[in-house]
Amino acid sequence: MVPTLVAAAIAALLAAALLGPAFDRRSLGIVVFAALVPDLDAAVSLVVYGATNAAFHSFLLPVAAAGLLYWDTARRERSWLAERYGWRGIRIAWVALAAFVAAVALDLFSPEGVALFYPIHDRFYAVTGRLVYSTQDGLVQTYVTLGGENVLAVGSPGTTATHHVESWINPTPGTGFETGVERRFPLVERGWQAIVVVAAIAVLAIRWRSSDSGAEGGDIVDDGDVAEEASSVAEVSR
Amino acid sequence: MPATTVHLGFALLVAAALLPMERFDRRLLAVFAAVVIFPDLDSIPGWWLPGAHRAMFHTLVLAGVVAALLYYDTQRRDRSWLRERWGPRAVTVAWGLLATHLLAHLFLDWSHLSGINLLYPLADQFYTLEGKLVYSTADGWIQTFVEFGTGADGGIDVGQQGSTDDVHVPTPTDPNPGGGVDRNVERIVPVAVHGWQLYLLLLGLFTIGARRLQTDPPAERTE
Repeated sequence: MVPTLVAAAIAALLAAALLGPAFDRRSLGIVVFAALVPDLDAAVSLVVYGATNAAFHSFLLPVAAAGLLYWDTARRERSWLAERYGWRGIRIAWVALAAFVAAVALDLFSPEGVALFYPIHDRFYAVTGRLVYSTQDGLVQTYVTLGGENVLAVGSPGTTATHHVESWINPTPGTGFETGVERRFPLVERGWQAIVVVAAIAVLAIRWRSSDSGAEGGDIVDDGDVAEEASSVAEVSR
Repeated sequence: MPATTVHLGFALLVAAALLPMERFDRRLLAVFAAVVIFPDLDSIPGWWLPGAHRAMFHTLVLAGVVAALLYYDTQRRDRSWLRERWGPRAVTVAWGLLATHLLAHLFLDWSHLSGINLLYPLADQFYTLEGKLVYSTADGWIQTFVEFGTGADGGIDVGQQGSTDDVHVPTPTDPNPGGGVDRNVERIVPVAVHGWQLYLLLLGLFTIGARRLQTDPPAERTE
């Protein structure tokens, strides 16, 4: 799997971008935690054969969560979430769901792939390839294949029986906790992943710096426009 | 380079994260696109100056000069041109876009292929950031971004690639090394290569789409 730290960094960037006025340390923590959940299926793989990148990477989970969230907040007469946590609760729930999907997609777009429809359909999918325009070959696209036996197909490294995704919890194929094997705990594995992590740290540092100086100007804000003015004035004054 | 499209995708995510209160309307998106696309225009001087791509506009020196000008205009002068012409929000936007340029364009190119010429023209040397950081129960901490004693002269290897004389990063406008306009060659315009580049592109589009569709918080209380 792509290192969990990268998924956390992507989640932090999404939280900063989408939470709006609901952004604070606590909501950031919830959103980042949502991005860590998919990788916990490595622990499940100690009991269930081949569950890494499958059990909690299934798209059935976020689809069900999105359906439930939509039903509660838009279809019911009285929303449980809105009554309990208000506008912030709804916003945080949706952004956390987006972070979960982004964490799953991070593995889907890597060569190791994700068992998208587990446990209904046991097959790993990996979207890898290229999309380029060449003056000699025209538009070249190898991410998905169209036509043929399946209408639309992406690469597949196998099923849970044949494809093992290594993790530090379960480094070798099979269930059970092994002793005496090498465990590798990757933080970043590629240059671009390092940059994503650096970008997330830099963005959080900048955001906290500007929100700290914004607090001096009074933290009771009446409406969005005033909040915008306050933050830009704070930005100017520092 | 990772294609300009990949930069646009990741930059959308970073810019949205740095400018939480801005509306990403057409005007801001136009300025944003100009900031992200501009550095890759240094492939055009590559016709006359071999090696200019990823050197001329992909240098920390240029970013530093812009930052110094911005600081001087908004902090040191009595009347800031930027603030008077475009309003106080423009200052926030300018700093945000400068940081986006650094994080989503320069740094991402730094980690890709032959990297960027970090300090051009002060020091003509391309650098690539590539490696991994892993903790292994057998080998302990493994870090390959900076390697000691393996460089060309036994020194520190931080991914030095050579100068503008040696390094040519192919682009659609200038696919081959050397000056001049190449004729009758294959030109490749990448949109995304590998899964992760498509991922960053889609993630950026999702983020900005979500930002534009989000409803405003209720007006009575934003606490």
